[in-house]
Amino acid sequence: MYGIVNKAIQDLVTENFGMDKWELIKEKSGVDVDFFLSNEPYDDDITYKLAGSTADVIGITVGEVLNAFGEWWILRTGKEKYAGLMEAGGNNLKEFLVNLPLFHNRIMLMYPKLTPPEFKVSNIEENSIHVHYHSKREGLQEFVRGLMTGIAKMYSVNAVVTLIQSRDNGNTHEIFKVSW
Amino acid sequence: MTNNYSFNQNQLNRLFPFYLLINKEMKVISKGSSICKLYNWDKVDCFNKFFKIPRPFTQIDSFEDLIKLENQLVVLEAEDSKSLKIRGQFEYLEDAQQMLFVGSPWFGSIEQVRENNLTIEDFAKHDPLIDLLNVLKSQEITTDDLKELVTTINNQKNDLKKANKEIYDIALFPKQNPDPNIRINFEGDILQNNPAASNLDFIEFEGELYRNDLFFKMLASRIDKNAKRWNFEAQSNKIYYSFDCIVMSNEGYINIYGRDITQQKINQQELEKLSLIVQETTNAVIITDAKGKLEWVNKAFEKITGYTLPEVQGETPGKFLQGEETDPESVAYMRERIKNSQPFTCEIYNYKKSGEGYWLRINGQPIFDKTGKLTNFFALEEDITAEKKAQEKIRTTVSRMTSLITNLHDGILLGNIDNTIALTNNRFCEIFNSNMKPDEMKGLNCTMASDLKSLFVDSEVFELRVNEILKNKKLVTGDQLEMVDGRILERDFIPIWNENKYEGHLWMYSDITEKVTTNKKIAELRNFYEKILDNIPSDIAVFDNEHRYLYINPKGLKNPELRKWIIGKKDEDFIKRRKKNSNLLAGRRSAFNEIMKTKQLKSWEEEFPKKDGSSQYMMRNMYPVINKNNKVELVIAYGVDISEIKNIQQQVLKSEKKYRDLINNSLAIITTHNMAGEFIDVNPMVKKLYGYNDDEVIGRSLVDFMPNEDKPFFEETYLNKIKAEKECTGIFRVLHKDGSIVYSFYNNFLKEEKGEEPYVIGFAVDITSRILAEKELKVAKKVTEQLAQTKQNFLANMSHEIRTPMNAIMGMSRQLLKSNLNEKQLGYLNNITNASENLLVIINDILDLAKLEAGKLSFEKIGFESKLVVENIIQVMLHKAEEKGLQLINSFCDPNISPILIGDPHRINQVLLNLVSNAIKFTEVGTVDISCKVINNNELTQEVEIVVSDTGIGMEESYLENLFTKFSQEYKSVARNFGGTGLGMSITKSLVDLMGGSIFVESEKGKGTSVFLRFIFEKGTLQDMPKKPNAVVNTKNLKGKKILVVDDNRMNRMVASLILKEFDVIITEVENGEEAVEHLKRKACDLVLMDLQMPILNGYDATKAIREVLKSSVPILALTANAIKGESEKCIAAGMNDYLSKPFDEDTFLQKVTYWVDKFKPINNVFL
Repeated sequence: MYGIVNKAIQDLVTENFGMDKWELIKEKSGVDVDFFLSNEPYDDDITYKLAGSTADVIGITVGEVLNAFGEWWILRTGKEKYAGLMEAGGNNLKEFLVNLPLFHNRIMLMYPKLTPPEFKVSNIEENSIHVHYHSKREGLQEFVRGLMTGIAKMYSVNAVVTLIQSRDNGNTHEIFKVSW
Repeated sequence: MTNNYSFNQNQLNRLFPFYLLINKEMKVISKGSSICKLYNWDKVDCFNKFFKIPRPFTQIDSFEDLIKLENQLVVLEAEDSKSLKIRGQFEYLEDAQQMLFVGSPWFGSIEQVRENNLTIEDFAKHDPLIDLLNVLKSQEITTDDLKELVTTINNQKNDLKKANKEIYDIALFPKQNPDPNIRINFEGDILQNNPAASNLDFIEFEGELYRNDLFFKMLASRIDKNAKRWNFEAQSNKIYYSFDCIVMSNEGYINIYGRDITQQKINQQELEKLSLIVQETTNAVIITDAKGKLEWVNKAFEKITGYTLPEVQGETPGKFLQGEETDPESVAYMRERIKNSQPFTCEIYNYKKSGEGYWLRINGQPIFDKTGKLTNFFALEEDITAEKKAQEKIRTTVSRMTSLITNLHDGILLGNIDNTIALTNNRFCEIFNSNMKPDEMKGLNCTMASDLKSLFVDSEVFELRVNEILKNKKLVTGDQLEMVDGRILERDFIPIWNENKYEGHLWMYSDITEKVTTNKKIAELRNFYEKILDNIPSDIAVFDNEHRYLYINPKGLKNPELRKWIIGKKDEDFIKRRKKNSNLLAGRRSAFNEIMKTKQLKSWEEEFPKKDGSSQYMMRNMYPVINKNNKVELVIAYGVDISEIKNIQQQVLKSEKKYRDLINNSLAIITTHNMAGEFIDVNPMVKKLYGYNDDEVIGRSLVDFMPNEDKPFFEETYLNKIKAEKECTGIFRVLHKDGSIVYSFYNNFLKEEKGEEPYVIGFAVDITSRILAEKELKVAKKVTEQLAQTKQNFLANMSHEIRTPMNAIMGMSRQLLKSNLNEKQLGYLNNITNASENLLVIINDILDLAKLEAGKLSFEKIGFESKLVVENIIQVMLHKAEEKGLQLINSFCDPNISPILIGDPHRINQVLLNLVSNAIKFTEVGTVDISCKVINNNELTQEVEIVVSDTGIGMEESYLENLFTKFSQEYKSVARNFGGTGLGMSITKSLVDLMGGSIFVESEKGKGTSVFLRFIFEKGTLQDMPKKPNAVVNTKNLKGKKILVVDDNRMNRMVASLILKEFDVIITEVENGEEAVEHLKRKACDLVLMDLQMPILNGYDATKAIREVLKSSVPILALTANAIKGESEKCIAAGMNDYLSKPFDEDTFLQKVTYWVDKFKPINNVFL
């Protein structure tokens, strides 16, 4: 993962729980990195350890950590650092989600060393859409769910995100139904 | 208005130097100059075989798949260089039906541009990639700088951490000091303290308790700031501290160093306590000066003497304490010791102030100063008046004891520690025949064993024992000694110890001669009786009238210790000790009480369950012994083990029950009858099977229950037989009470016991249903056989009836093919031929199936050339494959395969033909492949796997399960499109199974099918090969030959004739056997082609007539449409030479005809 991801987790924790908690999380996870460089790729293991340790210290599940982080990623990291890019994604939630595959494919250019997941969309209805999430990484479904919720909030839309298919059940990828 | 743009190739190249143009067949028909540099285009055949689309992940199977990708960002990736990706988009050029791909490489760094042999010139001017990569590069440089910066900061952080750790370690040193260190300012605020100081939460100072912070404030307020150093003591948490305070005026604070002085305090308190003890002790303590004048006395002194300290201070103690009865020698001794500054101890009689005397023990001790000069005397005075009185009392007691000993009946000798006699008595002197008086013996040496030993029988033993006892100094009692004059003495030795100090001993001798003699007699008597009781094999016990054990013999209780223990105890005690079952107790107690009451013998049984599940049974008897006063004095009990008798009784009962149950529950009829056939006893099955109650049967004869027609035979066939042979087996027909007949299979035996009437025991079972079933079976079998025959006949007829016209159709078609035909006609004819061949396959399938079902299919076991099997199939099927534009290949033939294998090559051929034919049938494009490999090679056998695989339509997985089911095809449409009966695979599987092989199929819908055959063949040699008939068809010898064609079907005659006429054969046609015989009577010929089923005279009978009546050996070749097994044998048996089934293959026909024509040399050539 790029440093910006770990940095975002750090921001999420320090803003909500303070610097001391972040130091505790780092100590518990055994991650001895004081400063994450946004454009530098780091081992995925660091991100997983930070998420796990955050769950331990804050006293919530890893899924909840990832979900919160997904929202944070859109509403804070995206807005603060890539506001222009996010706005170019679409004029409303539906447009953004329809453009999501293309949008994501373009982001790859920003991060050439990225092992990016792939998004596809189907079942485009008036008030819902299916977002297909293909990734080699395991266990980040809740992060994706958080991303979807975050996008909806970005457009001030009240949306429900449902996981309707998962690799856990022997499928090839996850499918989220986003309804609004 | 629509604007149409068109670029020439150069323009396109300049705008999109990485473009690709792909046609509908997926060929790359044009490409940009730059993309040419990236790949080796010689390898590129089809676009989708060379490129993959990983994002969005798309499987490209057709041109349409590419069209769907239009208007999407697409990443291309070549199969052989996955690290190189092209990023772009597809555009469908509808008019040209081509796909245009425009894009550029997706590089992660500017270095990759050169690595891929590209320069800036290779990119379109509008393409921002190079610029983006440059931006990326500069970003990377920035990131590297940042990384370096972060690393530097991190190192500095680690250095800081290290320094922090060092400071912490240094600080830890005073921190670990167990004594409190505190730093306060002049206002008393604590500036710093170590952990030990933190524990001083409350401080007790000058009797007041202060909280830590308040204490130091109080302290600061009281101190003199100019004093450099001072000290105070305080207590906290039960620890005494001495605090040194150092004032640091310049720094403005005071360092306070505490020191734990608790132990020092305790010592001080201890000293105070001791002083108090001395003051308060019950013994008098006095201290005098060096001259013996009193300086100090304690309270006890005042109490004992009645003098106070002021009264006696400055006086010599002797002056006012000694009196009339004070021993002057003791006084002199004390003076002497005091004078010489020596310690002393003595007992002295003094007087109190009241004039009352008292005994005193004085311990005096001189006290010296450091230079060794006597300064004081210290004396401890103990009032021992009571002790002195006690001593007097002891003396009186000793005197009394001495008098007692002197007059004792036992001989006593009290020896001193130095082995002199302290005391003895008259009895001692009497026992040892001494002339001396006891007083005279006092002070003599008491080691007199050597003097006395002559008085004892074992004199040496006596002496040794005395010395041993004296040496051991341990208590000895009950030693018995036999004296030479017959007396027996009992001796005790008592060592006298006082406070672990040996102070002498006491010998006691008593004459027990009379007692021993009496005891001995009693013991002998007891021994005599006990020996008897001990050896009686019954439990014997004797109880007192309270039911307490007086005796129990070893049979009753094995353990000798327990036997000893139980005397005087009750059964309850025993059960408690051994934790035994207490159930028996109540019974025994009530039996005992009953005996006590009735004074009569009582017997009962007791059961003791054992661990193995069995039980021990005891017969108990108790009887009372009654004394003169008619009271029960003793109760004698004895028990006998009756387990064996009990077991036998139980076994007899069990055995009897078992046999009774066996007979009563037997499904067989079990009866006994006398020699007249009259029933003695019957089991319940008689009622069940024949309906009669016991009383309706017993006493009546067996014959009464038989049908009338069987009665006359009863005596002769049964009664007489069993008397003679003692055993008889057969079937009785028995009349049931309801009138029906029960078939009973019996097996009866004559029993003759000595002294008893002989009788018969009979066993019978009902076999009525079996008899009836057998009858039904016989009928059913006959019907089945008839049906099978009908089916066989039907199949034979069907086969014949279809084959006959088939022969005509196929033969005629062949002939027609030889004529000049136009293309259309040729097409029609080919259709006819194909249809006929298909029909023939179907007929053969049905026939094979019938044979398989009837188990009439036979297999050969002959040598065959393994390679020819596959070659033959390819040769036969190649034209069919080619007709469909398919490749039929043999991709692999294992070189290790044995050249000759043993099996049935025709059936293997049939199986492979079916599989290959199926493969071709279901494949539209691609290849049908037969491969052959050895999967197991042994010395004598080889396991061979033949795989027929195709690239055809394949099958659903669900269908694979039913593949080998008869009449099964995947969909109805398959049957419609591809034809066939659906029998092929079923027959194939049966054939493979019957050859001991295995078959399995792998198939994927749309991809193709592979059928795997596995056979284990024996390896063969050339000798195993069948002799080949001359396969060369020499049609030249046919010229001018006369051949008689016998067939009732004109068409078939025509088929044979047309073929043969081509070779100038002289043909004669007749319609039935009779005409044939008639013709041969008149004219000879070289060969007869004989149909079998003909009107008037069939082929068999005609042949018979030719051979037997005409005596002709003309070769007769049977031509029959009857393909049922056994037909050829029937032909040969009827006298024919060979057999060919219709419809026949022309080559085979000619081969057979030429063979027989060539072979036949007519005996009678009169007609030639």
